Amino acid sequence: MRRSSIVAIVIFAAALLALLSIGPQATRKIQATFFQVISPFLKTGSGLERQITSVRAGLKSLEDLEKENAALRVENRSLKATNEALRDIQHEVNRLRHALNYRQRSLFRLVPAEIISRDSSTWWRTVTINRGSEDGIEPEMPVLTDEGLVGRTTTVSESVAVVLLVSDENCRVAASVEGTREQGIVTGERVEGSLTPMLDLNYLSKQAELKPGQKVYTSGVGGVFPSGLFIGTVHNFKVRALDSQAKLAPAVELAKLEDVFVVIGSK
Amino acid sequence: MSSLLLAVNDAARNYHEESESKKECAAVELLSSGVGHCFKGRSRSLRHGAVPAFDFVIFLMILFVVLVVLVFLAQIAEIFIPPLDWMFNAHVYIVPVVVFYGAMALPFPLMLALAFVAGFLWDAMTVQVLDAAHVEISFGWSILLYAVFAAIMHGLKPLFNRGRWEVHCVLSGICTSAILLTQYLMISFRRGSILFNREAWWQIGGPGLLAMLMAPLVFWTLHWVSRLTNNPYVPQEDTFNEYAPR
Repeated sequence: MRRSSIVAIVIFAAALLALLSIGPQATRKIQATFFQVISPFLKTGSGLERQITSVRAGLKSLEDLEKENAALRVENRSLKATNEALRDIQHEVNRLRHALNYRQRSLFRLVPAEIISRDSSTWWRTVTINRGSEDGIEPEMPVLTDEGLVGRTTTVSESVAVVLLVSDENCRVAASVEGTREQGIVTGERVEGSLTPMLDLNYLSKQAELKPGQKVYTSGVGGVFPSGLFIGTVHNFKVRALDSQAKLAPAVELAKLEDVFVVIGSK
Repeated sequence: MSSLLLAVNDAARNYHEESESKKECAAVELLSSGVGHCFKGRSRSLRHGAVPAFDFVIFLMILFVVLVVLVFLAQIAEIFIPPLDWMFNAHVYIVPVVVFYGAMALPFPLMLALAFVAGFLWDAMTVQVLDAAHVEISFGWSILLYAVFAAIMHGLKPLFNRGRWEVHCVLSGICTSAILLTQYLMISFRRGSILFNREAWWQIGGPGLLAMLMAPLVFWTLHWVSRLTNNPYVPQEDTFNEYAPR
C-alpha cells in the first residue's frame, strides 16, 4: 500500500474514532450548529416550496370550477379568477384566526411555528420548524396542533428545531384510553408504506376491550407530554399472547402539517 | 491539512510513475502561457510527466472542493424531495451517487475525505438523540459506511477507466441500498427486533434503484465538471462513448 494511503487511513480512522466516541450532548451541539448553518437554505427552500404548492393548488381549484361551470366559463372567467384569489386569502385568514384562537384558549404557553422541511431520511420521522432556542424552545418539549399531538422537539438550534413525530418508533408516549382505565404506550411504526401512518398502542391489558373510534389521550406519565392531549382514535384492536394492542389513526394529519405549536410551559 | 497535501502530492508522484511505465497519453495538456501554466482539455494531449506536482494538487483540490459543494447542495436538495408514495415512501438519495463518482475521480486520500464530509452531513442531519444519555446510532457510522462502499468503488476504478461505467452505475445503486440496509439492521439491533416486510424492502431497494437510474446522468455531468476543472485523474478518453474495452 502507498504511503499516502496509509497516512490517509490513519488520519481518517483517528477522526472517525473521535466522532464515534462523542456523547449525546456533544452530538446535539454538532447537530444544532449544523442546522443553524443550513437554516437559511431550509427557510428559502421552504418558501419556494410553498409558493409552488400554492400555485399548483390554485390551478387545480380553477380546473374544478371550470368543470362545474363549463357553460358559463367564458363569460365568468375574470370573476372566477378574482373569486379564487379571495378564497385563498379567506382560507389563510380562517386558518390563522383558528390558530390564534386556539393559542388564546389553550392552557399552555405556546410558541407558534411553521414547518420548513419534512423527513430527510428513510428511518426517522422528523420535521424541522422555524423556531429555536431564541424563541424559548428546548429539547424534549411537546409539539401539537389544535387537533392533537404532533411529537416532541429533539435537536434545537438558535433559529430552527427538529421535531420527532409521534409516528416515529422512538417517540414513545404514555397514553390512556377514553372511558376506560386502560393505559399503554403509543409508538409509531418502524416502516411506513404510505403517507398516512398508523400508531401502535402497546402494553394494554389482556382484558382490554377497545372499540374502533375510541379516543386515546396522553396520560401525563413520563414527564415530557402533559396529560389530556389527543393522540388518535382506535382503528382496530387485537389481543396477543401476553397483552393486547390497538392500532390508532393519528389525530393530526402528519403528512399535511403546516403550522404547529410548541408547548414551552403552562399558563 | 499539510498531511492531506502530502498525501495528495504522494498520489501525484505515484500517478506519474505509473503513467510513465505504461507510456500512455494523459487527458490534459499543459500549455505555457505568459502568466503560468494552464491546462486545455479534449483534443490536446500531453505526455505524462509534464504536469508539475503542484499543479496536479491544485487541480485535484479544485475538483474535490467542487464535489464537496455538490455533496452539500445535494444533501439540502434531498430534504425538499418528498418520499415517493408509489414506491412505498422510498426516498431519493443523490449524495451517494456524487460520492461514488468522487471515489472514481479522486485519489484514495481525497476519496476518504469526501466520504467523511458526506457521512458527517448525513449524520448531522439524521442522527437521533433519544435522551440525555442515549444516541440511537452513534455519530460517525455513516462516515464509515460511505468510506467502505466508496473504497469498493475506488477499487474498481480500472474498470471505469476501461469504459465499463455501467458496472459503476449498477454498483452505485447496490451500494446506496447497502448503506440503507446496514442502517436498518443497526436500528433493528438497537430497537431489539427485526422486521422485514414489503415496505421495508422497498424503502431499502427503492433508493438504490433510483440511484442506479440517476447514476449515468450524474456521472456524465460530473465527468464533464471533472474535465472542466482539468482534473488530471480522469480517464484518458473524453467521453464514455470513446471508451473501448481493451
